[in-house]
Amino acid sequence: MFFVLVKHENAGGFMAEGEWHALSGSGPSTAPGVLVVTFGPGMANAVNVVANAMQDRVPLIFLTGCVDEAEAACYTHQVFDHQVVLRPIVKASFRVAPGSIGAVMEKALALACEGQPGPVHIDVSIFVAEAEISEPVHILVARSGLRDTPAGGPCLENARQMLAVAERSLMVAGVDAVNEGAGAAIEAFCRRFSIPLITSYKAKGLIDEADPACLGGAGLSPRADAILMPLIDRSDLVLLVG
Amino acid sequence: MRIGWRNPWESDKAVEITAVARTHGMHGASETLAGGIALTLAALGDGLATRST
Repeated sequence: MFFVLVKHENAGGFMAEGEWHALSGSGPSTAPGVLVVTFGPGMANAVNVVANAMQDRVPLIFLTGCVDEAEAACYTHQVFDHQVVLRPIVKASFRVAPGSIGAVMEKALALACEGQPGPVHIDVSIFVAEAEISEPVHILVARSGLRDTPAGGPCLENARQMLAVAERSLMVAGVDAVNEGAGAAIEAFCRRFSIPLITSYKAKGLIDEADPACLGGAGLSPRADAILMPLIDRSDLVLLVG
Repeated sequence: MRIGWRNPWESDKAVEITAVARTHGMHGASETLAGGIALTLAALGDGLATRST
């Protein structure tokens, strides 16, 4: 891991997101970026990018410095509860103490990468940050069991029946399809069944945007909606992937 | 997705493939296929006739 010193916490977080996207390519196994900030205003400056990571499914380890608890009990300058501020916009929030660092890092990495990826916060008090501590971290390979498993059972059979009789199918794909590296499978499926594809903005590029089967990114533009909504109305099957 | 994308289709004509439960409440699907996208698409189309426009 290498450190990049930036002028603003928010910019640093978006750089971590960009780095992850650039490296993750077509698979979910890339390590998440790490955003390191100081306590109080430093943490508050990063709220924007942390909320973005939550909503846009970006794995991010968010390390914040914090005042030692004994100090915080009788000191006010820039001191407030980071975990209370962050909990609505992170997958989990931890505070580490010596002896728990390895276990917390394992949990944080697993949570950031599993299912729909997202940010995980770890509060690191000054005495922990300044100490030299050696604890093992057993890195789990960031694979989600369900990602590697096809659906089955009666729901699949019902869906197959719907697909078999549908005349005007549409597919709508989102960011999970990007994070699962499912672009090639989606393109092959849409070609085989002649299904046009609408994507969310975050899923743009799953298939070539110039392809006639690609109806482009949607969700924010009323002008695009004026074209796409009548197609959805006339469709007899909507396949939602990611 | 903005407000125009709340419930833009009737749930009974939608099929969703997802590895995690959807709790956003913005739309529904009559069939939720819990699994990976690539593998589930393969299972969904397996043996069905190819279609041309």
